[in-house]
Amino acid sequence: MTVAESFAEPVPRTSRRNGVALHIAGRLGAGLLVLFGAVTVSFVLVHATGNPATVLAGGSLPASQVHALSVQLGYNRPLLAQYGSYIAGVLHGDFGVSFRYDTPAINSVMTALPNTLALIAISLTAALALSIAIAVSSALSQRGWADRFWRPLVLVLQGIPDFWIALLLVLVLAVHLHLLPSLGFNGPLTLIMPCAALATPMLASFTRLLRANLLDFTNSETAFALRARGLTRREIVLGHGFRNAMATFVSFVALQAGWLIGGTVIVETIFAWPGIGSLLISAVLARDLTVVQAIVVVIAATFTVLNLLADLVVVWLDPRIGRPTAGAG
Amino acid sequence: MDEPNPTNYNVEKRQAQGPALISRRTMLQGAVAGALAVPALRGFRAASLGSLFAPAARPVQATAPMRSGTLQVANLAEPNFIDPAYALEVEEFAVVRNVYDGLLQWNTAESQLVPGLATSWSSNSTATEWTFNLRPDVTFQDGTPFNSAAMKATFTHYLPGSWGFLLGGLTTVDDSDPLVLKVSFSAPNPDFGRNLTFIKAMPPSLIQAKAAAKKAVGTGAYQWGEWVHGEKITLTANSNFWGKPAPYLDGVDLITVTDETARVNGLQSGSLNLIMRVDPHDLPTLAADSKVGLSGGPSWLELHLTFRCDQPITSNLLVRQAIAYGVDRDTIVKDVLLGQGTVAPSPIPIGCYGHVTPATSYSYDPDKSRALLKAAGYSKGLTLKMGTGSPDYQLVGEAMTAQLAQAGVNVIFDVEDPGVLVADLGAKKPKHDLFILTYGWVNGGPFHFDTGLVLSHPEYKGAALTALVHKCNTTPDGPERLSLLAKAQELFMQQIPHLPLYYANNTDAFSSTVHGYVYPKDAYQPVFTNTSFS
Repeated sequence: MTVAESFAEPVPRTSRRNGVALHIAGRLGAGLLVLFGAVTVSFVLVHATGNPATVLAGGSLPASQVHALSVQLGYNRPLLAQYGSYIAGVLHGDFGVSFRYDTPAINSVMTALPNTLALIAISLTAALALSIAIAVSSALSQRGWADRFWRPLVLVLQGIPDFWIALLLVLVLAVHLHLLPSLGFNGPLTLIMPCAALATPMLASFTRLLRANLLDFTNSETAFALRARGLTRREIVLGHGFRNAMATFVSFVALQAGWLIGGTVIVETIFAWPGIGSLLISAVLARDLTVVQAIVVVIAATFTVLNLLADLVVVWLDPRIGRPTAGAG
Repeated sequence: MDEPNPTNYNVEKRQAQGPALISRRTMLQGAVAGALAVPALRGFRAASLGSLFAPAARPVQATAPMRSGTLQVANLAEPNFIDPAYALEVEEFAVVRNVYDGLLQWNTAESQLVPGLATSWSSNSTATEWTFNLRPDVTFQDGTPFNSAAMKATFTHYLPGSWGFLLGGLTTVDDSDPLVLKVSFSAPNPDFGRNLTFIKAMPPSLIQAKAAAKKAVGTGAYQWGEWVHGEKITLTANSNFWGKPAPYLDGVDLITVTDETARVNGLQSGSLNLIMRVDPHDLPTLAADSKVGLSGGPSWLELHLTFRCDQPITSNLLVRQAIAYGVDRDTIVKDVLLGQGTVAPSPIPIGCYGHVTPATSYSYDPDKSRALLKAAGYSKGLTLKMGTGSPDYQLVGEAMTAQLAQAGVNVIFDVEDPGVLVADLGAKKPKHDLFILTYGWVNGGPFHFDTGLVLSHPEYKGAALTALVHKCNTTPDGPERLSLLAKAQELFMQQIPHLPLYYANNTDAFSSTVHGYVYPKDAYQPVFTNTSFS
């Protein structure tokens, strides 16, 4: 917000409320379109090479079993009929039956999803808490000792992939020092290493973005005006700069969280973590196509919901959203 | 060729000799050392690991094994099928072999068949009729009785499944006596006894409920616990197990750990007690760890190079022989497998019924290879496409590519998706000319003569060998059959529809507190019945 804008007449509440409602409706519509696209693409890809039953279990099934599964899973029907049934099923949460488990495909996904969400929630929280602390500390002491310490460290951390950190942690903490278990999900101790591996690259990205936004604000006209009114650097950064930076920051965090839903595959493989990533790999290798479809749609839905939530938070944070443009009635 | 005995042992720390081989593990250790300024780098030199498997003095177990504990076993992948009629991979048989039993089973050394759910058995002189006396007072884990009717229901369930071919030619199953099972075939079935190690008794109640895909119910030492999809399968000790001694363990957790490094790390950190099919390149690390024991040795897995004998180039015997002389199998075993294998003189692995070392053999001779190619009309060499369906064989394929280049054969090698490669193998006009495949001769006999794959995969139609293989399949065990098998292997090596490369070693590793575990020679059916913690 410029100094001039800060002296502008406040916008009538009803006008902004309508604007916000329109904004959210637009985002919701876009989200539904994305979801519909994901559902359709997952269907098309599975059927792209013909009858999916022929590739189940990597093609190792006898012909009689292939035929039986084809009938059971409905793959012998016309494609449009299958698509219609698939859409109708998805609307009811029915993605078909897993040929491996002989249970609804969505059951396996719902068993694995909380394990991945636990990883994401903890690593995201840790990354957020640390990145905010480091970025604020860095912004407050720009070119001071804190800034000089954290900037190169964050740069290094951003360049290290999560799987490399994971392997290093396992070797040192599990294999050599026997301090932590190296795999599985059996209690809080098993959360430490996978969360640390996931949090570290995020910590670096979050810190750099937030620090840059905070420094941008402290160098802006608004900050100059606030300084002129007698506010200290600390008050400017924490009281005003932080809120201004949040809009961009929240959007970025939501994107990262959404990416993590499907991006934990390697870390889950290294730690034999029973999450969505591991399930997706095993379903792909076994050609358990109903489970693959279910996972793709669930990931797309989670991504969409997260982004929608982020949009709502941004609307709350940024009063400019929903405002009619200058010259409008 | 004499077959070395497999042993269990705790390997003491020792240095292997040979050129350095840097693994991902060592690279990371070096990074840790550099970062922490601690000289923790533990380099190792890997070459032949044969000496590591020499029988070492094994500490005598001073106390009786513990009757408690849950064994944490790493499964290589999530099972696709726990129904014994469809189970195909080691992660599936880890469940099947320990929950179910067959009428016959192997002794610990897997050198002879011993009673399982059948206390004795016999066949007529033509091996068309088999009679089994069933073990009395055995119940399935759901309380239903094991008897001949259950076996009849089992056979019916097996017929349409992946293992139905083991019952090919089945005509009648007489279950009139609950403790005597009589089975008849339309043609001689001399391998039926061996094949029964893969046919597991299933309760009719499970079959009728069509629940065999969701849970396992058998007569084995362990019974079904639960299947946490994507994570693990838990088994608990069967208190009504018919065998002696009763299982020492409280249970077995089969945890899905798909990454080899994660399995090795898990074992070394104590998160796992047993891992299967250890990669040869990880063996030096485990062998040097005093908290890890190894059980390994020759298996019944045969890696080979299949030629499509119906295609223009590879239908020529001179070309096939040229390629055979152009592959240095000794070097592959020594340098690629680090000694974890045996050069295969014939398709039937050592230790399987009927194995012989034929007189016809192909030692590495690129000059001879060139001469044969010239005689075949390829004096300027030729270009062939080679494929494999497993990244495990990538190094083998690359080594062969380099070797064959010396012999004038330019090979374009790729690793394909397994389903794609199998489809190509059966295609009328395949994209590949050469296929690197593995056969598990899993019944301890001439299994793939029986399945016919040794002839059908290469589309080999030579009358003499085809007739000889058929005769081997229909002659009862005995001197005549052994003679026929010897002749068949000799002719096979002359005709080489496929070139046997090596018999792979199979090595499983376990924590030093685990006792009584022996690796399976068939490489598919790990047994935990006699396993315990010290």
